[in-house]
Amino acid sequence: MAATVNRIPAIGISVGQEVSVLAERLRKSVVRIGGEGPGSGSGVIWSADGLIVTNAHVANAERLRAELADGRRLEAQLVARDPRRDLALLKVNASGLVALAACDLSSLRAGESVLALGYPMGSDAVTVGILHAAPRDAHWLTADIRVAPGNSGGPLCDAQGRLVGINTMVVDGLTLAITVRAIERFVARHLDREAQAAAV
Amino acid sequence: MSSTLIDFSNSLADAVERAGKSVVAIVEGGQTGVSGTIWGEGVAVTAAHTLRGRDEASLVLPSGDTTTAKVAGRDPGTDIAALRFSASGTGKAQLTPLQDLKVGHVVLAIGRRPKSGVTASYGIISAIGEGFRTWSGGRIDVGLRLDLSPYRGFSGGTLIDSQGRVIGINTSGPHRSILTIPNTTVDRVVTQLLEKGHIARGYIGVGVQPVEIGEAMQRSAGVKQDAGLLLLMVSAGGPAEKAGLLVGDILLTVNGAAVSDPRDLQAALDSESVGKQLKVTILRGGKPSEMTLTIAERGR
Repeated sequence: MAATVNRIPAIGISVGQEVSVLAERLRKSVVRIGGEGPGSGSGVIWSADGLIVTNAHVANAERLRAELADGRRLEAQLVARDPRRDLALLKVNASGLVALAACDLSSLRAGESVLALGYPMGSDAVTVGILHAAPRDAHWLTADIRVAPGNSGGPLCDAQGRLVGINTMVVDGLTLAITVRAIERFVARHLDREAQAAAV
Repeated sequence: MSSTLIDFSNSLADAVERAGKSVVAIVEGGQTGVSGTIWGEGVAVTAAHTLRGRDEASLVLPSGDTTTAKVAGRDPGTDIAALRFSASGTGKAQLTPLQDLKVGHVVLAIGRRPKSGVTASYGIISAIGEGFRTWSGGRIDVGLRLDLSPYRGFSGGTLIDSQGRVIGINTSGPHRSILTIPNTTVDRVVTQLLEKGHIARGYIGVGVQPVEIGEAMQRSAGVKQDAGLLLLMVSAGGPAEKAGLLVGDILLTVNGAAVSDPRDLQAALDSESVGKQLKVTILRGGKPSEMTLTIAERGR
């Protein structure tokens, strides 16, 4: 290794370019979610056929709108909501959407780069930070990254653009996200229930 | 997939992992606690204020084991406390040469929490200043200002560079900022704390106040400085009295350097000064004269 203290500044320009390319790709999987009131939040496309996950505190109205990155505004139907876990599952009538690949959380280390996408203060934005600690809790993980109201329900991704979790709240300046593992379980529980209902 | 972003991400995680091997969690009954940094075999340092006068602390080591450490000494001046614990294979991390640091360098604040393990926050060095003295008299070799968010439990943890080398120990500064005690300062303080259990401070037994020296006085006394330190008090039996200093004398120079602020005098009385000679110039009855004092150690 070179004797210089930091070799980061030399690669700073290409890191910046890659963040912008990655963010452009990830934007396609982020939606803006609006209810009846003026507030809005974010959501993540979970399946190509229109499932969207977000926070329960974002999906707090009967009638919801989901605005895709290409500008399409769709009615979103609330299919499951768990206020205790702060998760909600929505469905829009669309196909060919781009879902994000899930990150293998067990491989994540403290200090890894993460990106947050969403609609803080109503307009879309990307921020970069790091994972504060390796995820040990099944439900929560912490990130040192700047987010604001409106980021709720939006994706937190690793450097390869894989979904790590959804940004949910800020406590003492630290961003708390619900892990992709917890989201998978939440969605699976709902789909099981649906399958059982269909069998009956 | 190869990309500089992934390389960047991995190199940060590598640095955190490397440095995390020297960072411990300090648990306080019921509280989430703070961090500590291993500074040698069986020696950890932390921010002294977090110990709140306790003589023992419970450490969660990088291995996950918990052990009890004894406080070997604390220095309120730099907010550094040294702890001793018995554990083998706990080595000191590699240090960053401070002269290599530049504004804009990537830094990470590393901590450890009992449940989460190693924690990290990312930032850059936003300013590098001269050494300074804290309000409580500690000498800090380099003033570092950071663009980095301090999260709960960061105190006593390590500031590292992008290679995982230790720049210093983090503690709380004013206005929710981070004060980083640079590694050379930590080294100096820890060496003394382990040896003596405290940081010696020089003492000459005077109370002073800055005073102006008017132009007429400067001309008649043949001195070229417009301010000095007026002696308001000379302690009985102290080094100043023994050397013959009197209330009303005006201190002009200390070891050849002009003094016009009490901090100038304080700077000459740091821990290394104890037992050494202090050459002073004073103004008495309108005439300058030289005297020599022997610096004593301040009582504790």
